[in-house]
Amino acid sequence: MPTTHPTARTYLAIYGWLIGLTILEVGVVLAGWPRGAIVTLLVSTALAKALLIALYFMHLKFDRPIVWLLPGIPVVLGIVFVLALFPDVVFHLVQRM
Amino acid sequence: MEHVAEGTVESPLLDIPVGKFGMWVFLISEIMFFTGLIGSYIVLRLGSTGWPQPRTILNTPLLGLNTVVLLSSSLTMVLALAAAQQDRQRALQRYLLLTALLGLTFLGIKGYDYVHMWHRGFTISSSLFGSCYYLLTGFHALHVLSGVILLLYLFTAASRGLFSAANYGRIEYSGLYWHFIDIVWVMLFAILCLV
Repeated sequence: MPTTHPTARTYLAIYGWLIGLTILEVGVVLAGWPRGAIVTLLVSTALAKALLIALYFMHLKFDRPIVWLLPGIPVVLGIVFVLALFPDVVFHLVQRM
Repeated sequence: MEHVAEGTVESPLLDIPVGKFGMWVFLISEIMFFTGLIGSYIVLRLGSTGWPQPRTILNTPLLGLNTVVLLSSSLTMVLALAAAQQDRQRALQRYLLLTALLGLTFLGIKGYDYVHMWHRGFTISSSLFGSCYYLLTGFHALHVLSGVILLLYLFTAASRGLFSAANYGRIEYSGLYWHFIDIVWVMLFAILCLV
């Protein structure tokens, strides 16, 4: 088992970032920002929050790098799965025009 | 039968405890499950015209509050693990119970949200967005419920003094599951409820 774990202060700091990013997400949606900006910001903040949780709360940052392979492979496969369907989406959208 | 403390047997493949390896293998199947659902949602949404703006239908501040509740439960879960590693039994029990209660709070708010939305005519069959919303958040809620049951079991075990600084594997592996549920919600909240 990993022996070097963060302190409670580090966990609280990460929690502060997670809450701050969540408030930012809700804030920009309620403020009615332009759609493109909202999508870019929300995807970025969601990925940042997921990464913070995985690195610090799931302790991936403190595990051996080979452990990253376990969640990394299905995540990459998932992204490939979605991207592989994009040509079909574009084809249908073009057909409708 | 010889007693072997949790976390002492290591997987020959990755040099990590077998329990942790097993949990990661389980989480791989969960990642693929939710990736399939979220991927389908993305493809459906991008291929549809006239998709409604979620903020015009959903209660965004309430969902934001629920996100804060689940993030808070992740904090208390990781603090429970830290307490177990330091053999602070009372703190361990307190944090496990708090995590379970925050999970139940999340489910309570989600239940209120469902009833409220349903009465306003936003049902699972009212639109493609409705189907995606209830299916994705429903499966997530089932995972939260499973996590709460697991946490209550851990709390009972902790109350009987079954965990210590040398024996906290089950807390750590359950924590991986709970944080994974949190990550799924973080993604759902952004791409399903806000975008």
